[in-house]
Amino acid sequence: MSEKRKGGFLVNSIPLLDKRKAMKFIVYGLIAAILFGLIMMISRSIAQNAATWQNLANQENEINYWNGLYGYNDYIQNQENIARIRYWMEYQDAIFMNIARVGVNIALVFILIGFLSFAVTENIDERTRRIYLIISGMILLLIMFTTFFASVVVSVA
Amino acid sequence: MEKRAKIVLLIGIILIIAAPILGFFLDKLILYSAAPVTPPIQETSDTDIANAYNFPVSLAKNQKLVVEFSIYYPDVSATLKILGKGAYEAAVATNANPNGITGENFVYSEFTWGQSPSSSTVSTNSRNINEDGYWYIEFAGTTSGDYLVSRPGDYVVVVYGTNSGSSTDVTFNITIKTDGPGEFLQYLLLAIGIIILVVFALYFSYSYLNKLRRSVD
Repeated sequence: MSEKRKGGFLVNSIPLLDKRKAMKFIVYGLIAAILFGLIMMISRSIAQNAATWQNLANQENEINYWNGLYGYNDYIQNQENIARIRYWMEYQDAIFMNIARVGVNIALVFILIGFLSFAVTENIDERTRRIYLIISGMILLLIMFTTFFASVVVSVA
Repeated sequence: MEKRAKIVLLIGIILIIAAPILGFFLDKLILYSAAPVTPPIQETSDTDIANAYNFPVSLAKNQKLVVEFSIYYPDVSATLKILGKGAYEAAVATNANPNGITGENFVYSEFTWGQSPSSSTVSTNSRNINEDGYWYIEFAGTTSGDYLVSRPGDYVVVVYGTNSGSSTDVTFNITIKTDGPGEFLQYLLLAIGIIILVVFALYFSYSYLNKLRRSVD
């Protein structure tokens, strides 16, 4: 069961992972999923608050103009720069969300392999293995839905 | 965390903090500032441009010139114009009267609180002050409406005037500034700082995962 591998292809060891390795897959998968999930949330939050930030920056720009710190054309330049940053704040969401989506799905594959390995481990009792199988099935469903349907999203209020 | 890693992290944070500060201070470079300009120009400047105050500047593409022109002196009336270098030299050669020369277009701002900046900015080709006044002038070559149009080249800031009192001195204050490397430096330092932090975060996560893997093995 627990063959010692030095490198090699991931598929070779599926679903023949021993319990320790399967647990490592689940833990690493979880850590990676949490990290990528965090990136997703930060990125989405920045994008959602872009307009509020723009209002604040424009107000500061106007006050700086009224204070005589710079003239009208500097004011316009700042306004254009603020708009550019706002668009970047919104667009970075598309970049980081897609990177994070790929990362989360890869992490979920690791978790799936971990649970699948538990499900086929013979020295675990039948009922527990069935639960592992159900969990891995649910994870697989989640991966498939989030991969093939763009409209399926997990939102956290 | 290694000492070297801490130093790199610190440098990244310092760069991100320093970027806007440096950007703000290097946004404009002061080419000349005097309050008042000494020695003062004489009343003869009002009839002969050769006797007028002149400050030559060279503007690059998209570079702006900012002139703060003010007078708080009795009996003094002075006018500021910005001329192309060619037009200025031709006028000096013929000892022309500066009042008859049309300057290049620039905009001036009156910082009116609560009023839209666009409605408090006007395009013109000369600014005059009688005894008391202050003008904030922006120039880039010419204007289109109240907006500056960049026209790189050599220009001369000219001030001439009269004194209605017993003195012949035409005293005024002037500060001439140009766009500095502030904006470029700000974005550069910010980008370097963010790249350092991102690389550090990736390296730290990778090292941590490696450590975790070793401890599990």
